[in-house]
Amino acid sequence: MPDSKQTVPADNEVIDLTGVSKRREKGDQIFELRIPRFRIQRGEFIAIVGESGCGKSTLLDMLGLLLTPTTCDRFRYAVRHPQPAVDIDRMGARDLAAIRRRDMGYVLQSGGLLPFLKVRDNIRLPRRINGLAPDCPSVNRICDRLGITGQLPKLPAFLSGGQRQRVAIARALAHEPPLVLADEPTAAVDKLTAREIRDTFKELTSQMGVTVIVVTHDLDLMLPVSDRAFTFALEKPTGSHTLSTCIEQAIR
Amino acid sequence: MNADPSSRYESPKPSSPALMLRLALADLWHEWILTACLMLAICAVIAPLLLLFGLKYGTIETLRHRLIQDPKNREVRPLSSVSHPKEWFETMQSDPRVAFVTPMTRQIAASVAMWVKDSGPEGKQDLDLIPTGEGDPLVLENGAPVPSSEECVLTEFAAEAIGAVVGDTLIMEASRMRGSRRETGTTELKVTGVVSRRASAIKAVFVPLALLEDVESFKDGLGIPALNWPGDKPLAYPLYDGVVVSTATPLPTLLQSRLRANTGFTRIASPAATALANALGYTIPETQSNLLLSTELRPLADSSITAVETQIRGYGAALLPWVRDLQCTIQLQGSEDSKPVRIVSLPGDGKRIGILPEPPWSEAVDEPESSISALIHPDHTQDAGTAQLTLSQTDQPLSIPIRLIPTAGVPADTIMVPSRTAGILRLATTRPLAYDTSNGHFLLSRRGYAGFRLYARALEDVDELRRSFENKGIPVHTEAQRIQTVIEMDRYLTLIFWLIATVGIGGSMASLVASLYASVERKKRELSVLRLLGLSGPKLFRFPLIQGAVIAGGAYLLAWGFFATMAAVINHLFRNHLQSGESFCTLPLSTALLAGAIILGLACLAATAALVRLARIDPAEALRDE
Repeated sequence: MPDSKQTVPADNEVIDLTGVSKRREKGDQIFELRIPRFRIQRGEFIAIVGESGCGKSTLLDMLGLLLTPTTCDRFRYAVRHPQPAVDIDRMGARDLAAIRRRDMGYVLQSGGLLPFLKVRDNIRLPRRINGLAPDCPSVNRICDRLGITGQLPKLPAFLSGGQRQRVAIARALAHEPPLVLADEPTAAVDKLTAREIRDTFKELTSQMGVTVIVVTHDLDLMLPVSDRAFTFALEKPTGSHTLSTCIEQAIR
Repeated sequence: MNADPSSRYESPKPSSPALMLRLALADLWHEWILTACLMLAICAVIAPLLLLFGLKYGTIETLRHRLIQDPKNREVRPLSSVSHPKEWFETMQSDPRVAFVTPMTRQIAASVAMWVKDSGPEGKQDLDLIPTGEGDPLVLENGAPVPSSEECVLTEFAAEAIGAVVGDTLIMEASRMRGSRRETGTTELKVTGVVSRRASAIKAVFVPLALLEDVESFKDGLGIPALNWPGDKPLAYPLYDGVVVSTATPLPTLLQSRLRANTGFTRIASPAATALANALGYTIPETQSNLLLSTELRPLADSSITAVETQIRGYGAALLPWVRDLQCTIQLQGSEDSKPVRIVSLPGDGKRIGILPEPPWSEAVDEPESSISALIHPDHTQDAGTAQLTLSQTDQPLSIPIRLIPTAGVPADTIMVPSRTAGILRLATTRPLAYDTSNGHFLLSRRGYAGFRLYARALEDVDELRRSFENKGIPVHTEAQRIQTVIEMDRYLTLIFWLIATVGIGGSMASLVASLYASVERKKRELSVLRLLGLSGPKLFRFPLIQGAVIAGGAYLLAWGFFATMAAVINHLFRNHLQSGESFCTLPLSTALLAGAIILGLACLAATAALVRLARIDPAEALRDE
C-alpha cells in the first residue's frame, strides 16, 4: 500500500479536530456535542464508545463530512498522503464530496448496501464512482479473506446479516481509501460472528495501512483491537439542555 | 491555520457517465412491480387527456377537412350575368387566390339532349352542359379526370338518368329553331368519368369549353364546320357613324326632314365645304349639294343607309358612308417602324360625282375583301407594296394585311380604304373580329362570356374573392356563411375543450408530480448511501431524474398505446360517418411530441423538487432510521 511507505509530515496526523462543537435543537431540547481535541495518527484503529444518544453518530457524520460543525477552531484532514493537509471548514461541498468519494470508506450498521445491485456490483461501486477499473486483484483478495466470494452474484436481500456486514467492509475497502469509518459494524450480528468480523476487519485494515474509526456501544468487543478509544461525558446543565464532551479514554 | 486556504482539493476523476444511468435503471428493474404501478398510475391520468385532445383535434379537423376538401365550398358563383372578355379570365387565372376559373356560356345555350349510342335515342334525356378545363377541382376532387375533346364526364344523376357508365359512347344533340323548322347537330362523346354525388345535384355533363361554345354558336344560328353542323358564317358587317347624301341639286326640305325618320340617323347638317372635307378626309366637287346625316349614339349598320337610299330614290344622290375618327398603325413590309395613321372611308360610289382623290375601287356589297387596298400619300411609299394594319382601338388588337397604292392627293398620315372596309374596322372597335387570311373574310369573334365557374385556392381566400368581386360590382354567391360557422364552432369547441383540459391537466400534473415525488422520497436511503459514497450535486441529481424520466416516459408510451387503441375503436365505431382518410380521434405527431416533452419536463421538475427537499435532510437520519 502506498500509504505504508512513511514519508510522513512531521506529526503524521491524519485528522485534527480542535475546539469543534455541534449543536442540535429539536423542539425545546438542545443537544450539544463538544470535541475539545481529537487527533488521529496515520494507521491507528480508533474506537468511539458510548451509549445511544451521546453523540457518537454525530461525531462520525462530522468525520464523514456529512455534517458541518456549528463552531470549530480547527478541522484538518491529511488523509491523502503526501498531499498537504486541508482545512475542511474552508472547503466547498464539491471538494468534500470528492474527499468522501476517494479517501473514505464507510461501513454502516446494517451494511448500507444498495438493494438493487448484486453483491459484486455493490463492492465495485466505489471503484466505479472513482473511475477505477471495477476489478482488481486486491478486491478479490479482500473478498476471499472476508469469505464472501461465493455470495458475489447474489442480491443483498439473500444474504445473512453477517454476510452483509462483510460485504459492507469489502465495499468500504474496495477503492483502497486511507480512512475507513465504521458505524456499529457488528451491532446486528451474534457475538461469535461479531468477533470474526472484527478480527478480519482489523487484519485487513492494518495490512492496508488504513486509519480506522469505529463507532460502537460494545466496548468489550472493540477494545482488544483498538489503539485508542474516545468516549463521551454527559452533563445536563438544565432540564432541556444536554451537553456531551468527547474525551479520550485510557484503555491499557 | 497552516494549510494554504486557496489550495483546492485535487479535482475528482470523472466516473463513467453511464454509471448513474445503470444504477437508476437497475433500481427501477429491481422494483419493477412498483415501477409498473407508478407508470400505470401516471398513464391513467395522461391517457384520458390524450383521448380528449385526440377527439377535439379529430372532429374539428374532419369538419375543416370536409369543408376544405369539398370544392363546392370554395366556389365563387356569379349571381348576375355580365359579359367578361377573354382577357378577364386570363387575369383571374393568374390571381394567386384563384385555383381554377373557366368561362361559361349562356345558361340557355347549354341545354342539350343526350343518349347512350348503343341503346338508341329512346333513352334521350335533356342535360346541362358544364364547361370544364385543366385543373377543375369539382371534377378532379370528385373522382373523375378532366375530359378532353370528344370526351365528357357525367354527374351521378346524369349517369343514372341516361344509364351510362364510364367507357360508353354518348350521342349529344344540340337543337335550334329556325323559323318554324327544328334543326339539330349531333356529335359523339366518350364517357371518361362520373363525378360523385356531392359534386352536383343536377343532371349535368362536364365538357371542354370549346364544345359549349360550339353549341352556343349553333343555337345562335351559326354553322360549326368542325362538327359538320350546318349554319351561317359569322360574317362581320360594317358600321357607320354617318353618311353624306350628295346631290347635284339641293333636296327638298320636306325630304330632308324625312331622312331622320326611321333611318337611325339623329342629326342632319349641311356643313361648309372645308369643314366637310376635314370630316371626310376627301373632297367633293363644290358643285354638289351635301347633307351629312350622322348619329351621336351607336354606329349604324347597312340597313340605315338602305333606309336613306329608299327615301331619296330618284334624286340621283350619291351615298357616301362615313366613319368618325378611326386610328390605326401601319407597318410597311420589311420595315421595323410602325406609324399611326387615320383611316378614311373613301366610298367607291364617290367616283360617280368626282370625289378627290378618285377611288380606284367600286363598292360591291358582299364581295369578300380578298385583298384590302388602301390609298396612301406617295411620300410614305413609292411603290405599291403591302403593309400590316393594326387596329388598336379594340380590346383584342386586330391585325390585317393591306395593299398600299401611293396616290397623289392623299393627305399625310392617312390611308384611304373602301367604305365597307372602313365600316368593318369601325365594327372592330366595338367587338372582337377575326380576319381569315385564306379568304379575306372578317368573322365575328366571341364577344365574351356570360358567366364563369371559379374556385378559390383555399377556404380563407373565398371571402376575400367575394369582397373583391363585389367591389368590382359583380355580385357573387359563396359558402362564406357555412365556412364561418365551422370557424366559430372550432372556436367554441376549443374554449370548452380548454376548460375541461385545464382541470384534467391540472389533476394529471398533480398526480404525476405526487407520484414521482413519492418515489424519490422512497429512495431516500439509497440516495443517502450514494451521497455517502461521494456522489454529490449534479451526479446525485441524475439518479431520480433518470428514474422520473423513465417512469414518465414509460407511462407516456403506455398512455399512447391506450390512446391508439381507443382512437382505433372510436374511429371504427363511427366509420359509417367518416369518409376515407378521415378520423374522429387523432393527434398530429407534433402535439404528441409536445405532450411527451411536457410530461418529461414535469417529471424532471417533480424529481428535482423532491431531491432539493431531500438534500436538506440530515443524512444521519436517512442512514439510520429504518
